[in-house]
Amino acid sequence: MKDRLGTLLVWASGMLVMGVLLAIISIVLVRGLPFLSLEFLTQAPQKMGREGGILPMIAGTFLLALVAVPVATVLGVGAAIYLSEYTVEGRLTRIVRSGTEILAGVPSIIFGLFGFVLFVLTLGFGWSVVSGGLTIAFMTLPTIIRTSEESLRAVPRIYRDVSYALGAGKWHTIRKVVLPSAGQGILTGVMLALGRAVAETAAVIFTAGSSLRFPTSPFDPVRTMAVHFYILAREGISMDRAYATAAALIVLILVVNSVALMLMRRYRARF
Amino acid sequence: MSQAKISIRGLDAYYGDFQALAGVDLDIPANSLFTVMGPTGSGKTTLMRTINRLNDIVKGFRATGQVIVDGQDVYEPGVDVPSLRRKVGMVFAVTTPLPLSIYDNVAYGPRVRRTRSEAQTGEMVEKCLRDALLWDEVGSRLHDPASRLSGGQQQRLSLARVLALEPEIVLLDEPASGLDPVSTARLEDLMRRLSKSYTVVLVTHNPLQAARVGELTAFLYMGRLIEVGPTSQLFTSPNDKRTEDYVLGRFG
Repeated sequence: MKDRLGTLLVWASGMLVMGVLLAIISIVLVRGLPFLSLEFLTQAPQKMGREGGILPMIAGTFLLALVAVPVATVLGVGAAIYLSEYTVEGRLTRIVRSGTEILAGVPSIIFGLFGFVLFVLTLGFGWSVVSGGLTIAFMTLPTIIRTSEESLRAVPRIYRDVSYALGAGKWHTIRKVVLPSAGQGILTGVMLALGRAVAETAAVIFTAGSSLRFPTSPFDPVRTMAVHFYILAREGISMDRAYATAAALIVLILVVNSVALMLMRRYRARF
Repeated sequence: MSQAKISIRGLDAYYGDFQALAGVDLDIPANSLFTVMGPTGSGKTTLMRTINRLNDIVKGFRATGQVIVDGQDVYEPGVDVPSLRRKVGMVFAVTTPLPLSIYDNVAYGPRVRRTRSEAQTGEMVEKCLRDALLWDEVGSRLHDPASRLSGGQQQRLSLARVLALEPEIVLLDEPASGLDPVSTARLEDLMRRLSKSYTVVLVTHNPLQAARVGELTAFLYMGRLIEVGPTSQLFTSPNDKRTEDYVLGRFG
């Protein structure tokens, strides 16, 4: 009897989660898709977004991700490799790992303030793609380090033994055996980072600004789709366009995640 | 009397405070099939790993004494360890294909040094797969993932991988563990064949396998070398009571 109750509860939780997810997606799509059109996606906004499209916002979103993801991946995976392959579990690694986990819990708006002070003011980048991208990169760094390190540590020790026994050096072993093995887990972390970069609002407003103009240089301020939706909705400028922007954002996220899943599946099939 | 291929003198090995080997003295002749037998935990794997210095990567490992390969102590400062590991190839107990294709597994060793063209590498891969008696089974699907092979095939792949290094010594650490009798017999035949051109050292915890394979056998127990001699002598009239108990299956 208890078994059945347990199964029912678990099943109900699963259904609830699916339900919430579907509800969120469908609310946005139902209200937004009717206003989504090719013109909307390829035109610039007019009258503060009351009319026109969201082309600069789409560009802004891509550019921000283009800065954030490579920076976060290189720094994050590099740090993870260092922690996993070049250090032995001890006091130092425990301190670093605690630091990473604390950072992972810091609210994104704090990162926004950090980015504002460091990139916008002190380094003089101003409100720009660069400031926003770097801030998002630092924000997603703890997650990438954590998931990458776990993936690297999960690679069986014997793979490394075999590689060394065949005369390979440490870096060769990491590049050719350990990293590819951990690839799937690392990719998951990167996808999470990408998702965050695309959806952040507070940290982005503080560092990339909210300009409606199409960015022409990395130091131009830029507005992402998520920020645009927020501003349109909060200021009551145009609810239709707000929902349309949100719908475009959700479609983008779904597409990116599907592509990533497909890549991971094909990658896994190779081994 | 020609110099032994591998000479071990007074070898002590420690993992932290734990002493795994004590005062081991051993001579392994060139081009022979030499078996090291003993119960699990007697230090056989440790012994193997000191020969190719694979224990270097284990934190807390220390070794004193000499491990002389071709007249040179491998623990002397300035020894080129990757070169040593190409001369002394190792097949591990747990069959471990690298997460690559069959071809890439065998080509892995040669590619580290990148001294060959791809065409030459291809020839080398074929030769080694043939020598390991695996070519007939995989020749047509070299780019399949190595993980799809059976246990026995993966073990022969590990051997091919080692042969691609063109080593002089081949160490096999319990290579038949987990293999069915047919694959085991095939592997043992392979080892006999290889011993004509390489110095082959086999580690096993199975005294019956030691009796089948190898001209010389050494009995290692609790980190100490108890007895070493021609295989037939060790099994018919051993000098030490512990050897006798082990080969009769009274323990181990």
